[in-house]
Amino acid sequence: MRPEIKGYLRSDGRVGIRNVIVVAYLVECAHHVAREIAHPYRDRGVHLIGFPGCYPNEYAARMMRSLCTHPNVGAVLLVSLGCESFDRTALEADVIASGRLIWTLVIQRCGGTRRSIQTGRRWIEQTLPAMNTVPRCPISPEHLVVGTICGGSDATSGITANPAIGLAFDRLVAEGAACVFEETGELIGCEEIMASRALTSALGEALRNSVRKAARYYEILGHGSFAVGNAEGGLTTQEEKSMGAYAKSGSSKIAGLLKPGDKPPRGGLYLLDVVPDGEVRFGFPNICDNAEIAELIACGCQLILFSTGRGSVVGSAIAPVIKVCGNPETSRCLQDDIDVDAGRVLEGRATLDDLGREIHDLVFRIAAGAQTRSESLLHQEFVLTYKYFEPIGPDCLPVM
Amino acid sequence: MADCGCRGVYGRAQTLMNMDKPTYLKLHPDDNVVVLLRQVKAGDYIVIGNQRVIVRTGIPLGHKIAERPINPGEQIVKYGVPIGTATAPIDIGEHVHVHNVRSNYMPCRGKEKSDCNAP
Repeated sequence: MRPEIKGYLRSDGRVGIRNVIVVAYLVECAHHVAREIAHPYRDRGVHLIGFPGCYPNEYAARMMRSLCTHPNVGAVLLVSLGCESFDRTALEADVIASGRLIWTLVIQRCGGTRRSIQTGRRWIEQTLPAMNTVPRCPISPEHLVVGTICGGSDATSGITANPAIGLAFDRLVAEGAACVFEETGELIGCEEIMASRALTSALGEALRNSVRKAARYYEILGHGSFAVGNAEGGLTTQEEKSMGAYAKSGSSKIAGLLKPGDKPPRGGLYLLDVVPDGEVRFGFPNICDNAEIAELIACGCQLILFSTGRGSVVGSAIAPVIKVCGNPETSRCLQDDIDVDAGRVLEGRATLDDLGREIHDLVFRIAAGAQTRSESLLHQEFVLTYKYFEPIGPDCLPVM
Repeated sequence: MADCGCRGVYGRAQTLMNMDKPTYLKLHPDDNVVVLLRQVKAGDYIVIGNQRVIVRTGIPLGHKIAERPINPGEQIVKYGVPIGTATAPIDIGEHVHVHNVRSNYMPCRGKEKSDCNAP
């Protein structure tokens, strides 16, 4: 029997595993003030997020809306310079509608840097005790949305950490959780295999198209996916390389295709398409791992499984990140940062099945409040850039 | 290929004990290749099933070897799915890589679905 896990029940009915106060700057000009407000409280669940751009962007607005009303978030402090084009009134209205505590601080009206920081910290001091009054409720697997990403991969990732995460996903999906994998640019070559796992043929076609879009996008950017280093590492073909990344998805049927900000309507396995639609603009689709982690969180992921081989150290604002490392030497070198040493498979000290079970069980321990390594080290990375997306098509989500 | 996701359980992966450490990892029960968990040198022997195989060339960690003889034209199966086609006869224990495998993947981009012959 699993011990009962208590989550945070939001008034919109969603359930979080953390109770975070988000301090969100709405333009880079407000970043310093927001950071100074949040910094003294960063070990008390106050996290900094924000959007640096001054020009409006629908994707960024949707991301901020999704993140500020995320189930792990209980209160929001918006920090605006005052003249940026971000529609803070609309964001504020959405957060109010979600039942979260919110306050908007406008630096140009508040008397500048020093007074804004003081005022913001005063609001945090008042809000922290109120966070303890959020009602708790038992969490079952159906409440969980778990994302996965890989970064700093090496030859071990595809044979240890990724298949182990896939096995954990299989268990979670079987129990009713929603699990989300992503990075269509790394799935080039397995689109037919992936399409054959779709619940409907129309969804299969949508999955295929998402990979085609990624292939085109990366080609225009001049980035082929299969490099000489891959062959040196033992990877023979494009489809073999992609299968290594794809192994994180496990073996469940694919229930839907999401774009950043779309929420899985029920349990099951989902692909998150993070490659922008339309012509190539705004540069690289994902400038770093945390850009993708933020997108997974915007889809409602309360927790992220991060597969690495060379060794990533990042965490994230809003959602805990569990790091699973495929390379045993990296795990030893970065022992404070790695939550699960999947390299034990290479050394014959564990089977993939053992690891799948271990990762699955760790998900529930972290959901119950245990800290991940990156949380205990106060990693709270966050990146949000410009992008353009069209809404998902009618075939992308399962019929309820 | 319609039904061949990696639904087989990776955890059925078998490790073969050779001295104190496993030599290779089989990722899926349907696979005909296995992944080396350590580097082998020419002249080393490894045990595959009941067969003792002398390695003819050095093969690095993470590379594939054949778990059984594979004929030219046969699919190379890893993760339970085809990852390429053999272009030469491959012996049990032989290195499986770019010299004896070609990709099945044809980029589908910009083509009609009927032209898309990916596995």
